[in-house]
Amino acid sequence: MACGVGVCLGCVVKTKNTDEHSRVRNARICTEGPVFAASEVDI
Amino acid sequence: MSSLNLTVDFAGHTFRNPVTVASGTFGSGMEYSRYTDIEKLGAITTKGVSDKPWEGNPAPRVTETPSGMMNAIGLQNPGIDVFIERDLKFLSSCDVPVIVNVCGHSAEEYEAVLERLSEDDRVSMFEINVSCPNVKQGAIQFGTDPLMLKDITERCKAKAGKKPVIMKLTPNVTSIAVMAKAAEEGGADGLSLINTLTAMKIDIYRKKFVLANKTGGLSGPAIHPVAVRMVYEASHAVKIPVIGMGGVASYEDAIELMMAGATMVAVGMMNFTDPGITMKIIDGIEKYMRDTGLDDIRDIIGIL
Repeated sequence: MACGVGVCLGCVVKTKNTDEHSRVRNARICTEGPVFAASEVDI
Repeated sequence: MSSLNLTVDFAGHTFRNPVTVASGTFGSGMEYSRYTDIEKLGAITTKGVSDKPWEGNPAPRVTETPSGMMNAIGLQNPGIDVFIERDLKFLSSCDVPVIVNVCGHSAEEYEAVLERLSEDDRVSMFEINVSCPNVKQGAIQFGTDPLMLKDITERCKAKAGKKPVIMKLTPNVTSIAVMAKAAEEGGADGLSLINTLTAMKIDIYRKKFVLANKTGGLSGPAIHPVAVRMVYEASHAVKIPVIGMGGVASYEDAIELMMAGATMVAVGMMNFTDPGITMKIIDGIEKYMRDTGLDDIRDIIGIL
């Protein structure tokens, strides 16, 4: 994690569906996480 | 106390001070506006935007290095539609000039973004990313071959309307002067440099590359002396103005790049370390001017 505030996109996790902020299948762990429903992410 | 002039002229625009941010380290200012006064910046340079959403590279995307970091984000961005309806809408509510960074895999993709923004009053200038080391297809090739750089510059200029076009150059070339001249010949209104240096890190216990992309771009204070050298060489090879960047961490670093030939400077990785770093650098430049009896910041641009 580089910025920790949602800017750098260094900490993303793959998501099952399109993420509301990024508009791709990546969510920012620092901002949308760090806790996700297991059903929402590809890990 | 005499009044200090921090304004600089760049490609037909006058900016309130010479400090902007490096593309990709500041988003579109929405997040950092909670921590710092983005309206005090000379300009905001946005994260690169493409004609369609880009997923970017697999994780891990970043790692720390001595006095710096490596990244291989891969230009993840939501695409021009969302950029216009969300990011540009936010920026238009702020009193700060906007430099939009544009990325693409092909000339047509750059053109598609420029066509959408060429008449948009909210945009001051374009910065064309022909130098991302983390996107395999297209982008980096445009920035490492002088003939391709000249050609893509011409094509971007043709679609940019009346707005200035800045070509962002990669340091991963044998001669930065040759690349600077090629962009100038293609009609560029300015240059920005340096982008990151291509690097690699290996985890010796896992026996694997640290970054999923294998290679990443090195940035931060570790690369600052490289930036000073390349800004000097590029700015002395052309007549168009230069935005200098690469590991700027203090007002001393900013002044150094300006003395080497930069008209403006961009702060990149250090925004991650200290969200208020740009304000400290602007205040520091004022302090330097007072301490050294410098009334006009423009008087130190390219003095060496």
